[in-house]
Amino acid sequence: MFQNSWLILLFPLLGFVITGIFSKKLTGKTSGIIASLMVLASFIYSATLFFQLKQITNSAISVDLFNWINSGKLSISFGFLIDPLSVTMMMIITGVGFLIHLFSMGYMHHDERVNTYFSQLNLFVFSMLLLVMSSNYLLMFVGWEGVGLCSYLLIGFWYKKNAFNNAARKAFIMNRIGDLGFIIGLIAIFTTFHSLDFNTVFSQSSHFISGEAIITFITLMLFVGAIGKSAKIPLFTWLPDAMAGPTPVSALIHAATMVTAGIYLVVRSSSLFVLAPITMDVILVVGVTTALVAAIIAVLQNDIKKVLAYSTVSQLGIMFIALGLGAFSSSLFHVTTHAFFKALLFLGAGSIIHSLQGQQDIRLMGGIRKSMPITFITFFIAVLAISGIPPFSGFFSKDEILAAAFHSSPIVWGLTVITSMLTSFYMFRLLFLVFYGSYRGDSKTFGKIHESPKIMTIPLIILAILAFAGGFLNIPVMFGGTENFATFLKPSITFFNDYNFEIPNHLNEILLALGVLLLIIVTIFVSWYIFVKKSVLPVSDSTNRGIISKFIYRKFYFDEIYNFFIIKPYQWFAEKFTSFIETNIIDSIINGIGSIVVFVGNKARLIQNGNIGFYMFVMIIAMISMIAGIIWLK
Amino acid sequence: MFSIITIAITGVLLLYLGFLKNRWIYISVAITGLITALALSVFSWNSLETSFSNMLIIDNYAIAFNSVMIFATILIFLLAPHYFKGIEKNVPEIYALLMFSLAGACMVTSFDNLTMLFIGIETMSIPLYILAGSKKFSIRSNEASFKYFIFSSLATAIFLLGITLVYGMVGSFHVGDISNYFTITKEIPSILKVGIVLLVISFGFKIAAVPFHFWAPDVYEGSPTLITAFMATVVKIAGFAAFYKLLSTCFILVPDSWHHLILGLSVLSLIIGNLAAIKQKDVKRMLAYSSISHTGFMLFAILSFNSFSASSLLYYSFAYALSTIAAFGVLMVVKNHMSADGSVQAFEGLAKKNPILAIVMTISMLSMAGIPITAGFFAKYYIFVSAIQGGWLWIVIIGILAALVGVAYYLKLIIAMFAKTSETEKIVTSPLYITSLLVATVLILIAGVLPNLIISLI
Repeated sequence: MFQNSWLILLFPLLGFVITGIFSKKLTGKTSGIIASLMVLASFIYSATLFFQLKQITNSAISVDLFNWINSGKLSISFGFLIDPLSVTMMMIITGVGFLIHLFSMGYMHHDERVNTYFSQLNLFVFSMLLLVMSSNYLLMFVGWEGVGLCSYLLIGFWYKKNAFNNAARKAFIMNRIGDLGFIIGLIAIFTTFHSLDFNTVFSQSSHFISGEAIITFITLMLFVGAIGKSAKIPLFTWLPDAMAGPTPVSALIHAATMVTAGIYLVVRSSSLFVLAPITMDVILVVGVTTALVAAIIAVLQNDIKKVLAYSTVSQLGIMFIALGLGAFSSSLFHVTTHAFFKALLFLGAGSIIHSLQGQQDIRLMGGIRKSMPITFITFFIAVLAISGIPPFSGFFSKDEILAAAFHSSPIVWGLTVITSMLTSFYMFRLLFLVFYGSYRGDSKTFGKIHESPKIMTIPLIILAILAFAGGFLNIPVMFGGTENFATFLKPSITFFNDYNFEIPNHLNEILLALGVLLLIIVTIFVSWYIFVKKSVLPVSDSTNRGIISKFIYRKFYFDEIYNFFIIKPYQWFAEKFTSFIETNIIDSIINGIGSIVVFVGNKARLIQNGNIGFYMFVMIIAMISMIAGIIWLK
Repeated sequence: MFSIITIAITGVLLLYLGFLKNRWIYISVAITGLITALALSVFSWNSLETSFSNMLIIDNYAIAFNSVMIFATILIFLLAPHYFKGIEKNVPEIYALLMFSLAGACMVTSFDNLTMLFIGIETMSIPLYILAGSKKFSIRSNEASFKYFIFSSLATAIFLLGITLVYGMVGSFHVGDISNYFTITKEIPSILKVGIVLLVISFGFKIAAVPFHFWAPDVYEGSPTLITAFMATVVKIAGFAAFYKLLSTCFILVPDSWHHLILGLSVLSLIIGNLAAIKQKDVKRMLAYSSISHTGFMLFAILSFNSFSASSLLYYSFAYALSTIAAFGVLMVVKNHMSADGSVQAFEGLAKKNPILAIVMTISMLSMAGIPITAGFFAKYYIFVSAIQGGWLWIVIIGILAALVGVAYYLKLIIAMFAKTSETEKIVTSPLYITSLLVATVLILIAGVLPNLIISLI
């Protein structure tokens, strides 16, 4: 069973090849079915692996398929590491991925490049699976690059629009910056451990003491990779722009799976990260800042997908807070519940956009809960989950992180609570503005608003159930649970030596949770008061805003700052280099070498004149000089 | 030994079968004989065998090179029926001469005595004088035959003089005695050094190393293409195998005398071969210069002499033989069919109507240029590794630069086949012909993906 786990990779790869090669011949429906079935097959296989893995005690199985690269000291096998961590990720990827494939069959059915779409979606699933399954850093990097490529392709899927192309490019370039960090990290790992294999590296890491410089360097570089892929400050601006892609893509790649690759990387390398307290502090600071900044920006956004995008950035920030605190399993638990409710939110948004003929501005929506009941109810469940209302899944995962934060530092806890309050505020703002009040869009389209077809609502319903019940995977001890999820993951993760799983005083814990809950309910009420009772609408773009409001609305001017300090100087240099160095110096050197080679070649050709006498003459001279050389020169 | 005998007997048999006037009988007898010889050769692996009062020794080194040469000859014979269709009457004689030449080539790799080496080289070369001129009414073919004869005679004379000088000092033709002489004698007399230089020079002729290459472009161009393919592969590999064996067994202990000579030959071959190839219009002539540049690369193995260099030479020979046969195979049909002159223009737009030929040619060119995943990549890789291990880093750098220049003219042909749109017609070939080309192409790819199959042999 474990030996054949390469089949999990084969299915989506096969789907990619089939739908890719026959993209001219297949109908959109057939390719959708093929692509979905392939992901379903991988899901079933992953689930089987999961149940088998639960039964055995030694729960990390290495599957080496063949020797991939062998060069000098470098020896890398093409192999997989099947352990609780990777199986969990595999199930999220294939499970949520399958639902999103189903949804896409409805959402994309009218698109003319639907086959290409499914082909790329399958390639993405393949790359993501490769990323989480591989047993060494290099193979993981292959998957890492693969998801970056697919993300690029799918963001720019509607490539005829220039803005979408730019968004795709932006995502790719920002990811490349992170990738560079990853590569440097890989090289540093190889020079330190002489191996890139997970098992070898992690077992050797015990020889290092905490805080050693090289480990700090390695982990910082890996974290740079994680920053790029998981859209953290300062490399987060690509994620909101990535909303240019089809909405199911945003659900799959930019909410549920790809952006969690950075978290996977840190959790996978936990035995290195626990040796680097400085890195952990950096992660914590970056996490808190990102969570807060993104939440503030989200409050004033008016594009339904942009709100969700900033919410994703903010939630990823919370996951990184958990990582920074050393609460690796809590972070991964939040990844799981977030995958459910964020995929649901995006698909719900997709359902709305589909029904409103592509309208994304929430100022032009409103009052559509009657016409789209299923979308409304499932969306509501997701909003409750992300806000952290018990017993919805978000409550449990966020509560764990808050508890960990409280034990470490009140400031971190306070900032995380503020983030949570902001989250519930803007999520309910979104809910109220979209579904409540009266319709503010073009009155002609109002009559056309309809519930989406079954192929789209069924995934919504399944995800809603998961978003509701996902929290029960890991019921904390204080509520009488056994923390199944954390226990299952424990073998894959290295924790700090003094990290305690048991929280001694449950009463404090419960009081804390209730306090936070109270604050969140108040926030929701405020949101209700503003957007339903008073029916306040976000101002249109033309009205003047106050300084702070403008500052937030323009996303803290991140894009402008990058534009001024990086892009403009870069373009200036690029222009100077093309006009001067490229054309004058480099070109003339290259062309000069080329023409010298051709010129000499022409001359060399002429030596061969066909005259035997001449040939003999040259040869005899060569012979004489060789003999003379050997005698006199010794 | 039985392998060589089989080849010779097949040759004699073919001469008699000439009465039957049935070209399918000739080819089936020839191929059967060659396959038997190949099998006999392969099955004698690991069984050391000496014959003719220790003048011939068939060890794994000889078997490996012999097998490559016999296999290359099989591929060439598969091309032959289609090539000779309608243009040649004396086919069985040509086949028989090729067989005799191959038998000589197999002796050359397994000598244990300089006399035997001489006999082998002559057995290999004399049939080629006739074969080069086998297009009796073509002036170019006659010219090629004559030039080849003149230069080979010169090389033979130099070779004999070299042997004589060595014998004069050592007192024996036997390889073991010669190498013993150098373990005992510390001060090597000049006359012996001159002998060694003469031997190196004569092999320089055989393998067409610059500046002893002048015959090669003219002979390669003038000879019938099939014979050129044979000369460029089998004869050259035999020359290299013998050259390597001679220096590594007899003269390995001679301090520093011939290293600089090999170095000079190698660098000159790389430079002149690649530079002259770049402006050639005729593909056959281009391949001739390319073959000279490959000589430069293969000399690296002789330069470095370590445990790895023999296997890197073997791998290079194999990769080179496959690519060369595939390239000449495509060239032959294109040249005959298009009633063209065999210039690069004749290849324009080939991919449109003849995709298989174009793909075979592309893979062959990529392999010659040393692009992965073809065998040519690992051929260059291993030969460079061997040279670096021998401490010749700077010459590897020259080699890489030369390979870069080489890419230019190999790609020129690929571009002509795929990018240019010109009207071509469908070329009809025989199944045997296509089989040979496809076998060569597939093997180029297999050897390029799994180089360990060959590199770990010797």
